Amino acid sequence: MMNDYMDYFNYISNLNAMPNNSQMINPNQMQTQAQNIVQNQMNSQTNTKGLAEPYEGFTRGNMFDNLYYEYKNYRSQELNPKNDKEYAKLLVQMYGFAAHDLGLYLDVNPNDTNAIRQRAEYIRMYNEALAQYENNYGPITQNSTMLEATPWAWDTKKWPWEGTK
Amino acid sequence: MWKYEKTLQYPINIKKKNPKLAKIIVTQYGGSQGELAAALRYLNQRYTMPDEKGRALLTDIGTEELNHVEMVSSIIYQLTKDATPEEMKAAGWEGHYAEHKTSLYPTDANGVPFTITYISTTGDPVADIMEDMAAEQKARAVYENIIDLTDDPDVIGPLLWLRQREIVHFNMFKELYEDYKRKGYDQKK
Repeated sequence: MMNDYMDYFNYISNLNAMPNNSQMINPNQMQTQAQNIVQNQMNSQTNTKGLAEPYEGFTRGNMFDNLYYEYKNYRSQELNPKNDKEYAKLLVQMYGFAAHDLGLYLDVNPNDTNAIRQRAEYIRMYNEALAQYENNYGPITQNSTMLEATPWAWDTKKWPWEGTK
Repeated sequence: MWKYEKTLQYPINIKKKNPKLAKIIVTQYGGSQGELAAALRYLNQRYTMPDEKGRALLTDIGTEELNHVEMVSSIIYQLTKDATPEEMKAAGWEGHYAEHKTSLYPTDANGVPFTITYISTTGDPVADIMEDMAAEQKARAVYENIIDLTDDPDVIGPLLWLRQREIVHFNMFKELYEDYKRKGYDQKK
């Protein structure tokens, strides 16, 4: 029992190992990788029919083509990240949103295998984007390895409601 | 249980202070069709849903509504940050300043404090889900009214986004409602 637990503990510890400086991805490299994620995703033909690409779905706040309708002539806001940090954050929000919206659909359509597969793909991309952001810019979740360092990093960065001017 | 994530669901970056606009938008925080009422409505109704679909959907949409409470609060916070008493007075919001300075407090656009009587739980899943559909439509309508009164693109962007969420939620509830009608959950079987 104890051995099983220790194996599991070691396994998790390795997964969450704090990257050392040489492993840290520099922001420029990161943006390229982030763009690749989007590019790969846009090139993939695995999308469930009637489902928006994550960027389009996220910016308009609705992943489902058949449910989308605009108010008057208003168009949804384009999100133009001003730097690598904002770009990294956008990916986290975008994939998180895409997975969440599919999750709502699955709550009432629990046997849609395509939607389950698509959501799992978005979750994988979300996890990747989350790790990229947290390792470069600070914690979003309490599970972040950035919270293993001193001083405690949870309360040293700006809070979400502050915004950027 | 809930865990906090240090991010908004959708970005809010407002450049221009505007307490007059905040005075209107506050209703989507603490008004009858606001996000706080939505969150409490769904998170109270979920316990007595008859099956997994209802429990799952109300939990997940109720949770998302808490994100929207945070988004609307962020809009109000950014629109009133560092507002002077004179600016609050010019915006017709000196009553709020007197009671709360510029801190957050859930009221409607006329300053009426939030009340839990905005929501209902009946124990009848079909009646509850029908209420939720109506709530999403009313919240969509109020977002549209507010967009009509807004000329700042930094604010319109998030309001349009929140409006879409009402549409998605409405349709998910509608699907659940039709399923529950089919299953006869209003027949007290």
